Amino acid sequence: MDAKYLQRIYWQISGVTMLLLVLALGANSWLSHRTFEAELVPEAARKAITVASTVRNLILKAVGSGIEYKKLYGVDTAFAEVFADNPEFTSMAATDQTGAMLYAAGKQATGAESYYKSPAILERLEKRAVVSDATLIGGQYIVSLPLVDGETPLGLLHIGIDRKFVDAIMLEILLDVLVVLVVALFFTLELLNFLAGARLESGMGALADTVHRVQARDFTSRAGAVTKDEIGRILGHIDERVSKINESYQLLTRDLMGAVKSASAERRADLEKILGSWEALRAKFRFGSTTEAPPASNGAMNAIRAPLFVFILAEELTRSFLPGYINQLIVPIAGVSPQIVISLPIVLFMLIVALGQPWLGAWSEHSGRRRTMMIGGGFATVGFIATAMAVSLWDLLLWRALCALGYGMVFVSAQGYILDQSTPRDRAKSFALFIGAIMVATVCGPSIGGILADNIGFRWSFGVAATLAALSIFIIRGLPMDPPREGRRVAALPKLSDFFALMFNGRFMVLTGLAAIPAKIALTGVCFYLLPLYVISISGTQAMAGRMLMLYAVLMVLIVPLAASFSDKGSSREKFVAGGLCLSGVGGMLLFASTSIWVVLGLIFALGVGQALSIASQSALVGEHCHAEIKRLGSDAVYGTYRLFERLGNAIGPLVASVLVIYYGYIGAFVGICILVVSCGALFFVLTRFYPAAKEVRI
Amino acid sequence: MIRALVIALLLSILCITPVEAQKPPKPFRIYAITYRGMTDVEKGFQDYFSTRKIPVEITFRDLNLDITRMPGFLAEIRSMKPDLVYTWGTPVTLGVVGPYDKVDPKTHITDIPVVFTLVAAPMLAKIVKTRAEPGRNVTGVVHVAPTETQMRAIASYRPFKKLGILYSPTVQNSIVTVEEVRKVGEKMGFTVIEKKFLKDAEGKLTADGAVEMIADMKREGAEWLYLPPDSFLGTLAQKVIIPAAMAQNLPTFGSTEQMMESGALSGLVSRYHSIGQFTAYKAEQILVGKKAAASIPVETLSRLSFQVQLEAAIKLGIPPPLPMFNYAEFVKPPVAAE
Repeated sequence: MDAKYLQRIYWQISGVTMLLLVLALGANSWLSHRTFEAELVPEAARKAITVASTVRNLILKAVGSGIEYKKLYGVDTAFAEVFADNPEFTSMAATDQTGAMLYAAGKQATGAESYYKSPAILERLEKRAVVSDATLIGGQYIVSLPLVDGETPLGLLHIGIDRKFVDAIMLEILLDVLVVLVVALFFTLELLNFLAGARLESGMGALADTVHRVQARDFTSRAGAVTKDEIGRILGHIDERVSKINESYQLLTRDLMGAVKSASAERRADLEKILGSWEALRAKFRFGSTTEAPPASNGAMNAIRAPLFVFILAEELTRSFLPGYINQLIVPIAGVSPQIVISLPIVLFMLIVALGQPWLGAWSEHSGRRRTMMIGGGFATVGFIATAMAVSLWDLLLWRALCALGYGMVFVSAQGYILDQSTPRDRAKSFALFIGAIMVATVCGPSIGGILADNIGFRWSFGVAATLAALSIFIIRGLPMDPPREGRRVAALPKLSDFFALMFNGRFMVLTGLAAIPAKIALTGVCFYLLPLYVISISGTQAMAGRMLMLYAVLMVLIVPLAASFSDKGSSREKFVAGGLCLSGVGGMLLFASTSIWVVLGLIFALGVGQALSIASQSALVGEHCHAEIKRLGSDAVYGTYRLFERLGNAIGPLVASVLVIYYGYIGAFVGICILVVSCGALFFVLTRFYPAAKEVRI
Repeated sequence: MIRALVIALLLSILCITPVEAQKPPKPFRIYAITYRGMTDVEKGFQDYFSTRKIPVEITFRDLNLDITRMPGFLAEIRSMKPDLVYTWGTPVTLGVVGPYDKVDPKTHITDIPVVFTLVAAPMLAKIVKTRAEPGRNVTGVVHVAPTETQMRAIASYRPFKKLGILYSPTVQNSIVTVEEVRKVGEKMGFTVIEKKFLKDAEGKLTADGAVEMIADMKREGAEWLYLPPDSFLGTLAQKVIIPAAMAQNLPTFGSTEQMMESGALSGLVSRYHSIGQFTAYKAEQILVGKKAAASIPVETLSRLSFQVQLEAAIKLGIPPPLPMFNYAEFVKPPVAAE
């Protein structure tokens, strides 16, 4: 029973579960879509009846004041006013008793005129029936209302609802359902991992270890399983057998030793033979109960994933609507353009996370990972609640700073926690777990946040974020207590001198300045700042912005692992980085052709693919290119400074974008950032030829 | 010690307050001059003060269309020294304050704030230099909607290409109004057919020929007859001008409530009562708010009412457009009192 087999079993179980889930969700989506469709048209028809009633009242008022129905003036103007207020209505008409059209405006549906004259419709005038059912005629749902002045029937009033409008709403709903489906899928995976996967994996691991030990003829330790599931029972049985074997061995040893002690000389010769076999047995197998089973760290590692996911989700939730919210609270600052003001809270957040990390890391080492995470979670919770109740930009800045502090604390401590708990052997696997939790949160957060903001408003959505942050504290409480301080690894703070030494180091700066920083500028400038604002500016919804951010995150989840394994196999990571950067910027050029939302979607797609391709190779290149620096300054200093620069890129992104918006508008800003990224990618490609990775370093 | 001081302070407050409250407030004294007797404007003016519980004592004087009575009123103002002077219409206001480039301190009132009302074009009449800041001890209320707003109102009733105007060629105010209409016409794409009242042997304006001129206008293709704020036109509107236009099937559009009361078919006007209230508000800023008249802007009411004589409109075969039933005020034809 090897690890690969276990993994296969795990993925098979997960696969079946996911398949069932997709089928169930798919069926649910299809059914709810049908329900919406059935509800939507009558809803639109009811609105049409209400609107038509006001026009009818106006007509009846005019007729009541002595104007003949057939000699009304400006009826088309009244109809036009209806269209201006209700874009979903495309045609209006008033007919006489025979159904002949007297007044009309908008684009009449083909076949409408004969429909107006049909006996079924004229019957409504006779019956004076106000029914809100709509009939689909030539691409319009037509709703009809009888016009009766006192006892005198005048004619009928018809409103046509554009079918395309209904279809567009259906598409919106469909996309929302799709988003919920994807999010549910990821969420379930996460939950599955949290509830069953982690336990199953550690249980299977223990079983495998035990079987391996027994196979290796080692009967010294017990699995000591505490769970009462199937694996626990099997382990219990094995333990029982191992104990029995040990008991038999001890019994044998005791009997043998007793016999040897009390044996006569001639008998002793016989016993020597048996003793020989016993020695051979002892050499072949290991008995006893001196060593306990090695503690499985997997459980502790998996335990961090759930609270981290929930916490990051809280912040990610706000991505798609935070700029819109800031826009609402904006206060004019003399001499500063509103575009820059909108970027300020995002810039501040990123700056605090970037600059705070080295210190927060040291602090969490000092006062304990679990404790720091709980305090950080508390800060973020308070920050989110206060953000929800912010009165102006000024206090919003303060609350966002509090959220940033909390975010930095939790992020750094979780990272530290994994470092503490993992061994060099499984460190990569543990970090994959850490990044996995964040990735899933970035998939789920913005899209759900967008839907929330559209439906319950900005402030309540921040309330949801606060609840999630509070929930994460609750889960963090369940983590094992912090180990005593002596055992902790202490990383050195990057020294200012190292920082400057690296800043003027060509090799290092080519990597950070031309790859890491531009990549982050593109991420925060485009995704966190420009996209939400642009989508709203072209009268899109927060949900639409959220969906696009989800697309970005899904691309990252799918492509990053693939790109990482490819770039590990291939020899030139530089090409991946340069190519990725160029690809992520190419999308911007599409905007020269058209500025529709679909092109922006294409831009986000290209950005996602490009970033995913380059991101995995970027940090690996630090090790390859800056070997000399790492040798001289230590890997903590080099990687620490690299991360710091990278995160400063996060902070500069929205600022760069906002300045571009002032001078060139939203489209100009998209294009500007894309040009920046493409030129950095090209320059990176050229310069890495001049600063090639030292071949001898690669071992 | 401190407690004693506090008690003393409290006692003193208790003593002062009733004394202040008991004192009957001294009413503000206002001297008002009207042009052709009391109108709804004066009613609105008085109503405003009574609802705001501002005590005023108004002395009403009427010019009765006779400008020669003005010097007597000015002498009375000088001897009475009221807190504020109220003037109705352009002739009265100019008589009291004079045009800004020909102020004679011996004749005109300069040391008492003047609030005018029912002045159509205070800048053209040289009462104030700018509306935003009068710059002299005068402010007031304009009762006519901006010319372009009126023209657009006409077009919203029925689009037109030719607009007829009949006016007094001797009155600067009317000449400038016609000029303004012409400019708006260039912008909106209509032409103006203008006819001037004739003068008699003594050089005074006469109604003779007016009916014929209206018939000519109709023949020349006028679709509307616009009635500008012109005093002479106002005196003839009900008896001569409007009946003549109706006879020609030519709809009329009035610029003031007076024109509407004379039977104009439609008009975008400020209600006289509201104008009076708004004028009183300006007076309140001076009397109670202690603001200088020179710094109070001259304004028009922002809420105007679109009035239509529905019966006449139906009779002419031009019913108001359907959306207008939402906001127009339908008025009755004038009672033929005279």
